[in-house]
Amino acid sequence: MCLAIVGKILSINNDDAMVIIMGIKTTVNIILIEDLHIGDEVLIHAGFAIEKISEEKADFIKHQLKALIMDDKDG
Amino acid sequence: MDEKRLINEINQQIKNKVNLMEVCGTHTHEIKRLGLESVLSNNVNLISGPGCPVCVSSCGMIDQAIECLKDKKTIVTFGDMVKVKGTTSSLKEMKIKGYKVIVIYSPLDLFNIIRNNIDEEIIFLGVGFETTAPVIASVIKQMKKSNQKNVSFLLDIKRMKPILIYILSKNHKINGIVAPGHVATITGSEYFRFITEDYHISCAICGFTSLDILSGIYYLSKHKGKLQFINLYSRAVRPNGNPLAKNIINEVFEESDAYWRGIGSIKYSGYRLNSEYKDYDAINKYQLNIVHNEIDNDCCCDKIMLGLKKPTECKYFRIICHPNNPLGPCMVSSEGCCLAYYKYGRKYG
Ligand code: SF4
Repeated sequence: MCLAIVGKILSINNDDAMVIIMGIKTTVNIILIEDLHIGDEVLIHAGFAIEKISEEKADFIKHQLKALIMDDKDG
Repeated sequence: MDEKRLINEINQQIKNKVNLMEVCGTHTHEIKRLGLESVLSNNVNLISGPGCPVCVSSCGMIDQAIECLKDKKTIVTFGDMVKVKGTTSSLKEMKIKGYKVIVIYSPLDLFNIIRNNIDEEIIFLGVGFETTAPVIASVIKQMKKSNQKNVSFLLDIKRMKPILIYILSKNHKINGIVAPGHVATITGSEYFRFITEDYHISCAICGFTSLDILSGIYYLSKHKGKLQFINLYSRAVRPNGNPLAKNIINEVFEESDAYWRGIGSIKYSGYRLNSEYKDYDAINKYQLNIVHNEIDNDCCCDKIMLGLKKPTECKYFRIICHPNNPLGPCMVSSEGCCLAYYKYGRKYG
């Protein structure tokens, strides 16, 4: 039920945006997100974009993990 | 860093048993689908939690939806809800008998349905956790704004924190919690900090890829005995969540007691429409009387959702209870724990 998928914004029209999800274009409601731009990636749940995916944090998990494991080895 | 390395790291570092609860049904299904348990050390014990809203939906709500059908109203709901039984029947069985039940993917579809069925009374039976609450709230707000008259909402929306408090304040063997990333997307990671601060259990907020889930397991098993709280899904989860989504929840709903199937009523564990929106509350509009009955069988979904039993410990699992003859909602819902064990269990034990 809490399933959400990532889509990329192709165009914006008032409360709706055209997104592309794994090659398929569809419309989602964007009223739950501020300051959205074409090209942004969003998390989509039940027809609504519920959050922007932070690009700078996309690799965070990999970096964080590396740091954690290095920590372990050093400690 | 890849999955293989992470699995090796987990297996090398873990010397004693660690019990980790993944709360979200989507996590449970990914763990089973990917067969993670088969490649992880036996010391990693993954326990499923109460995070499937269909599984915890109240029988009484379904019973009332069925009564509304008999009263010539139309019920609109999410796919999994039609298969779940009330005390006597399910919406699917009613549909087969000719009653009007419409399945939708998004509550936004309601706009077309009410437009195309102008002379009918439409009731949306909605379930969900905090992830779905703002989506439903947005649609209700829009319905009121456009003064729609032939639609109302029968809601069974649950909140994650009260059920976690319920679990953690009783006897349990949980050492760490893999917290649900998409609930946290709305509520914020801080919403889950009480797990560590009040209940002294480590918590990692996780996304849904194999790397996300393994990172959570790595992190929680690495720190067994040392309290930690971390947001490993920061690409989608901010500390305070999504402010617009939280605002709309507060604008349309108020916290209320909610009934959890097999578990009972838990104080302030749900949302209901507030007085501004009472005309859209089906319970208020049609004077419905929700009686929280339970189905009288030996299904132990309640114990499974509280992490006290695994599906394989249920005497009916696979023998009498299977997707073609589900005894409980955990075998019905696409996020149900028993269904995950049934679908992916043969391969991975
Ligand atoms: S296997 Fe069936 S009877 Fe047993 S707990 Fe799961 S749903 Fe209930």
